[in-house]
Amino acid sequence: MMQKEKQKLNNFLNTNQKNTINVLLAGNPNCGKTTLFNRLTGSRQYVGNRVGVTVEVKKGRVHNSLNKNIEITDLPGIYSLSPYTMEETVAKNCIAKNKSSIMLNIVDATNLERNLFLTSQLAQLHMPMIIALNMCDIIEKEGEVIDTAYLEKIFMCPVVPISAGKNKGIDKLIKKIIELGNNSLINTPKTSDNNSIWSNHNKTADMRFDFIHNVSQNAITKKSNKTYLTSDKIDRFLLNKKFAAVIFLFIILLIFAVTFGPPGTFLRKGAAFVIDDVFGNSVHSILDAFNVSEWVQSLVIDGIITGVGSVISFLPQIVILFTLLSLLEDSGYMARAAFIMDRPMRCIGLSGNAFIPLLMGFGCTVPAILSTRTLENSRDKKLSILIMPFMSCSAKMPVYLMFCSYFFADSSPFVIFLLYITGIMFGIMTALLFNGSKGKEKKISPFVLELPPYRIPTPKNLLYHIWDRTSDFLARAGTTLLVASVIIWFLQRFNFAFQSVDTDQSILACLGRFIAPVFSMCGFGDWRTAVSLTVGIAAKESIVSTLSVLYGTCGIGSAFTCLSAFSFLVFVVLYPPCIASLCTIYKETESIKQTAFTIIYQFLAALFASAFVFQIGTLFFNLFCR
Amino acid sequence: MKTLDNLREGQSGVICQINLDGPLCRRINELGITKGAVIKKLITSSFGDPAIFDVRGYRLAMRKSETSKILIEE
Repeated sequence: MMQKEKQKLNNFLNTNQKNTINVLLAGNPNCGKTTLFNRLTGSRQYVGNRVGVTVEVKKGRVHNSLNKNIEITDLPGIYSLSPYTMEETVAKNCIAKNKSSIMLNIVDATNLERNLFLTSQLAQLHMPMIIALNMCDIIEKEGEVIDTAYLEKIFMCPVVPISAGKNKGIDKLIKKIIELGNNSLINTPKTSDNNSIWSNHNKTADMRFDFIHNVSQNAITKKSNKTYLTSDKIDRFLLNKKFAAVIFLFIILLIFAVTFGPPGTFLRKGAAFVIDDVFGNSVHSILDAFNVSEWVQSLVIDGIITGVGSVISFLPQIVILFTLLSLLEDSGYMARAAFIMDRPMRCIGLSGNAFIPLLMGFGCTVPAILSTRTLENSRDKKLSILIMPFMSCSAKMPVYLMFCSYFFADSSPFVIFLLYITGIMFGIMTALLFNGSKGKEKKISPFVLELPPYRIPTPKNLLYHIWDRTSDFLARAGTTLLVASVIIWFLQRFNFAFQSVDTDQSILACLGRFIAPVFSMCGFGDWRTAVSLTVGIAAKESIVSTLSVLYGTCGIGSAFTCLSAFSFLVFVVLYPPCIASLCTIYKETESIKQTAFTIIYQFLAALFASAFVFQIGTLFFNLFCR
Repeated sequence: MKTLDNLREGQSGVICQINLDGPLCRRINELGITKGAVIKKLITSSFGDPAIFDVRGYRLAMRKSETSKILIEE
């Protein structure tokens, strides 16, 4: 048996490095697994204060002074070994596949009783195990003491008090891992079920909890439960019966106001100044000084700087939006938002749990779709994914802002707000159409959600989020947008015979004129617009870069009327999401049908809505403005 | 005996029976809602449903549809 296990381990390593120690990091949701993972590996995985932030298995190497090869796997949070949601299934399968690894069970010491339920199950897996008691700094601060020796005796494995957030006890934890790793390759696992406590595998939850209740009573000296003292007070205010919904709405509007109001606008103008006037002009003079040929100058100035630069100036506002969303998440308010919104969400056939992914969809659709894994049934998941793209993602912001600065300068926050509402309304209508509970109200899945205590977001974590977003955005600007801009510049300069021609006779114009008629009933039948919308499928920001390259210095001001600009924006809000999102939709639903349906459905919705806006608007103008 | 949803805010009781089945019942059990557990209702949502409970030292939100099937003794 042991021989087999060893062989399996070696197969798993699939190399001759016999010294590699494999560690599985398991624990309840939101108990600090990813924070510990980041500490151990020096990586920067996304951390938030709510259940279900990690939905995928992540691997990393542990840095240690002994230069041991320790590979650690961060699993999604689980409450027990019998999975209920999809991300829990992911975690469980991973444990089942890697039985020869070391189990590092992280336990939230401030919530010992519920966390030890999983520990009691893990202890029966016969894997070498270490318990990391996390958040011991908080326990200490509350004046409580945890008897680790007692827990070691009960669970028959080493128990290391740590604080992943404050970086305490990590070295000791690594040492224990190495110790256990060296032993477990030779010896049988330390845990055995000779002890009567573990003899019954089919313990009911009742029996387990009876036992654990006693264990945790004995392990903690004083049971005053100060953890939630402040948190409950905040909840009594924020979740106040009369004002909870109002406060929530206020918070959302505040996020909107900061992003699109004066603070965001100020930063954007600053960025635009730096890119256009400072950077653009200096590149221009450098190129001049080196006597670079005309077409290279055109490529760099009219193609790259105009295209990519036009988008980069919107970075500050995108970063602001993401920062505010991650503040909601880190503080613990996100779970409260789900709690408040559960009742309204039921009206469209979803539960409050689905609200969190949808709210994240305003940031970026891709991670938002991934986080629908936290939903317990596949109907909810499919429905959420279907309406997700209607939640206008941050990549569309540059388009709104660009058009607003030309056409709706005075009322831009209002117009943008209207666009977001349009998206949300279409999401709601879609959910009502397709929620599948015709007549029967019973289909809505149950709502059982843990509300973590509020925590003050750490600046470090916040900076990680900001850096994460910025680097992601810049990477996209440097790859997709750069390539798109160069291709667009090239195609609009040459004809099919590769002769440099006027834009109107270029390859791009021919292609554009082929698609453009589709949009003429929406009021933007120009081939340039058609091209920009097509390129926008690669990444939404590239609508801006493409329009900037194609319309050049004269800008889009003369190409649209206020009305056609608005109908164009309505189209942008509703039309199919970018390639990355479509791939994620396919990956998560494993259904070509749903992916294709998303594309066709959204395209038709966008076409219909924007044609409607334009036609009704035109009618209105003809009737009243003449 | 009364059902959990009939608790008023701030009131607590001991769970004596859970009339749910299937995966949902299992999940609720694993979250610490088991016979003998002390549970306290803290806050009801603005819309009357769901509500937040204090159980085993942490906070859990549940709907009436579930809590009406959990019997408690005061």
